[in-house]
Amino acid sequence: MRTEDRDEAFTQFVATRRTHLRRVAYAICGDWHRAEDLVQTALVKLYVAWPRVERDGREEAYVRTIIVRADIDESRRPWRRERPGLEGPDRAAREPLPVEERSALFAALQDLPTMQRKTVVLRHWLGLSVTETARELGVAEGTVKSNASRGLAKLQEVLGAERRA
Amino acid sequence: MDIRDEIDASFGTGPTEGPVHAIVADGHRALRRRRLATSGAAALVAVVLGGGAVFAAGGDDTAGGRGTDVVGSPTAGTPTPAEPTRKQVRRVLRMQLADYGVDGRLEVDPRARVVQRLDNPFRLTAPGRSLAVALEFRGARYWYVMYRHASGEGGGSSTWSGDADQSFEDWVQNEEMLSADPGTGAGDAWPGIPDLDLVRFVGTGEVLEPSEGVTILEQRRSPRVGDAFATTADRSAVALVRDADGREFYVLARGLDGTEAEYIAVRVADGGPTMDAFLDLARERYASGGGLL
Repeated sequence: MRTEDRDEAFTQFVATRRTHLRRVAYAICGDWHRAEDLVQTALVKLYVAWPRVERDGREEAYVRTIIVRADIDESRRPWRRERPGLEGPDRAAREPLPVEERSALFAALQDLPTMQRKTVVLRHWLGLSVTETARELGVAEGTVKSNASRGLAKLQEVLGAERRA
Repeated sequence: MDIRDEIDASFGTGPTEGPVHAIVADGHRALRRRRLATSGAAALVAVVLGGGAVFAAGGDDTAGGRGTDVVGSPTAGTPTPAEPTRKQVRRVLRMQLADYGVDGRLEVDPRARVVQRLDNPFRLTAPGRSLAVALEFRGARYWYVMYRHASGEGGGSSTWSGDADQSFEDWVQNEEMLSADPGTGAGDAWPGIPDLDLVRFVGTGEVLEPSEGVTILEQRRSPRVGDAFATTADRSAVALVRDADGREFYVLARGLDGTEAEYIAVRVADGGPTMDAFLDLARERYASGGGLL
């Protein structure tokens, strides 16, 4: 594969899917800056693995898997250590976050235990099957079912309270 | 409104995204770093040539030094003689100024001039072969590399030198990474496979047991891959296993506080000939922040 072909195909993928992927990361970690870094880390890894991943047609699943798993690592050590390939221009100067109204539902999602939150995001927001969710999270299907059930029940409680209010 | 729509509507799109080209540039750097980390500095032999036209090369052609005109090395630090427009670059790259001919010899467009050449920069073993050339065409420099693996798979790449933020030699080394024979798995900078059901922890300890049809050939507790992978407070293990199809994998396992255990499989061909070699690879990856996945 020629570099220019790889760059073009990769750029097209990023242009069309990056916003969605960043929302996935945000739903999992609850911080836009961290979500941006997570997605960039995942995309750099995708670029390196591009020929293999594109051949298999699983670009988005590849990035998503890195996002949901990287978050475990990122919470365990200094942030800057885990940013392969991101040593370009100074990215410390970030624009201020826009004022965004977080809903009670999103707050409840963030309050879920990590695995429940990830499971709900993949299973109930993105609509992945139990098998796909288990594969991306690296857990058993039974674990997906129990986490999805518990997480969803908590979110339904919040939604019910909002509707009654 | 169902739960999917409710979640989708519960937050926005966040701040403005950075430029895509910066991510592509990061990708280039990651490849280069990976390349240098795994292969070391390649002993590239540069042959500076002059003159244009078609000349013989290919697997049996080692006739470096054929020309006599010495032209400066076309590195990123050397000003490119002319800066073509983006449209011109695209048109020139489509022209394929250099490639292997039907007889396996290098052919160069007679209007181009070879200013530097690297013989077999990918160090492929015959019948595999590779060749890189820097050409001057209409006042601008273009770089070409072409290769054929012993498996028969081959290809090439080209770029305008002004697009590369590196030297000709570094660009060629990057291309070697990109062109790794898929049969070897050498092109996978992060070779981990997350979804193979090969082993699992027994209870809450660090002993691994095989999944159905899998044989554990060797296993170790607490392999100390580094704190980025698991601290001494976490449980971790590594195993060499053979699955029901006879394929062999290394599996790194960890169980972190409050999370499900994670198992990352790496084919033995990608992980190294011994468990120690695999653990060295894993330590390097986690120390550099890359991980195995």
